[in-house]
Amino acid sequence: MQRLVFDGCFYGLQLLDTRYAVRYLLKKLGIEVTEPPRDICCGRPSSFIGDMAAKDKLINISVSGWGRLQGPVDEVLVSCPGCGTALMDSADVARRGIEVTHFIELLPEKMEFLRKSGLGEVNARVTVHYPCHLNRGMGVDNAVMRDVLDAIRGLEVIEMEEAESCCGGSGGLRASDPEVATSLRSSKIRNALATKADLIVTACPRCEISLSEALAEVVADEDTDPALRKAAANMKVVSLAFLVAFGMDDFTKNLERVVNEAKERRAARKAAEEGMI
Amino acid sequence: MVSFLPGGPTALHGGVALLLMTVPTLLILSAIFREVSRTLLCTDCRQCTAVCPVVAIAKEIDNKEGEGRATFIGPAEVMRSLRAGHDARIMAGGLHICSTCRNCVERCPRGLDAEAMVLAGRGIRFGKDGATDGQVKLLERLEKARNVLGEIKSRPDPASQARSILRSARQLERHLEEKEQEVSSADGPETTLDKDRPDDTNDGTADTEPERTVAEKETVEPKKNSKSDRSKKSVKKKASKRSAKKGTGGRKRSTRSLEGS
Repeated sequence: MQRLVFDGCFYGLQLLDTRYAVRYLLKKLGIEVTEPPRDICCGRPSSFIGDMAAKDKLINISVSGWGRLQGPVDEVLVSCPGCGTALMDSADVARRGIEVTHFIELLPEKMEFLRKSGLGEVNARVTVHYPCHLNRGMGVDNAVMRDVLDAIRGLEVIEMEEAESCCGGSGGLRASDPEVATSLRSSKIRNALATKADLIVTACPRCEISLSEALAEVVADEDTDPALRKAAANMKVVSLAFLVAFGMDDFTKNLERVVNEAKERRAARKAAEEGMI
Repeated sequence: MVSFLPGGPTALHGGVALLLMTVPTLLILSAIFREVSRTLLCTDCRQCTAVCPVVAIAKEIDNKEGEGRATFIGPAEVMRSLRAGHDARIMAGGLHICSTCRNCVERCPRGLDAEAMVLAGRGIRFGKDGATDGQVKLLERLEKARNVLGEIKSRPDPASQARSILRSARQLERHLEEKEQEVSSADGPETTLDKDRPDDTNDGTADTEPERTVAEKETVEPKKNSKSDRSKKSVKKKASKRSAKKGTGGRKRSTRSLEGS
């Protein structure tokens, strides 16, 4: 069975810590994945603006690109629920009988295994934002996110009011009417701040960006209650995949090795250049 | 058509030709009827409008900035307008301010997919109403770079990636450590949000021991209860989720038929 991992624009090119966390966890779990030939948009943003021709074109490029891989793709693992929804809706994907799964759907039954292989305590109070496209787009139950969080020792989950309400990050709203997007995320973030948690955990890049912006807006707004501004400054948004990976005791091991090797290479190059003169 | 058949035109040939013509027509008509009948399922109960976060926000903005600034007619009206061909009406109703949260889809007692209808409406109006600067920019990025970020076409080298991921991990670690110290300081986490207190609760004198006080544990207790309530609720919802997942097939069909109209 061939599993393909599909990051989408945000996790594939911008929020690279989650991209790495997903791959790190997949390796820990012993799940082999194939990388797509190219990182291309899933087409959902085009459909938000109404450019259906562009949407079909983008998704076709992706899906036909998978044809160049060895063997057929049986399952696509997405880390962005927006991409997941787009792929699930695609007739191309459906025709090929490709299953679309969000990465976190793999986690709940593997938490025990992860704990045995080094998932330690994460001492934090977290609140959860359930992404619309994960829950109502891909049909993944909110309990999946909750089960993963509940399985991490030391973590205290404080549910916010209206935890599944929209953060305003999607639908092309940021491009078409930023004011409506800002209003939506502002009411969302007030619910999150009321929990006094340390972290907001989510599983969608659009939500991550939108909620981080909302926090920054509360901090920057001088008319807001100073206490609320301080609370916003003390809150961070993380993806669920990154939080789980962060809890593993050797998460940074390979990263440190890569950084040190690069440092040594640079030093060696410098020494060689000096020796040349 | 009939003259191609051997032995000249007969009543039998005429019957065959009529059958050949009517069968596809009937098939097409029944397909159209299936789609139309799906939208006709709407009983106008307005549950979708009631749960729409954008309808609520648009009302607030309208109240603040004057009528008509951000009116969103809501999923039900968008569907009705599409069905009746009221292009101008759906546009005036802020077709582009739906955030695609799919609350309406989940709530619809008839299993209709209003989000797909909204996107189909955008498809119908594409290129006819002009676009905002943000939309033009986004379309250009998608056209040129085939991603929403535009300029960034490839990831940085592994060492820079590793450095930035390490930085994120350390920031998170520091953030949680700071919060621990704040929590274990005498007044608990409430001090950060207490308006009357000066901003000096975390002045380095905080106890480094991350143990939380009994009082704080108590304040957290009722929330823990609500959490268990919630997981019960989520489990109950599981069954309905699966059916929602299955519903996506119908959603695709309705999108396509509306695009074609």
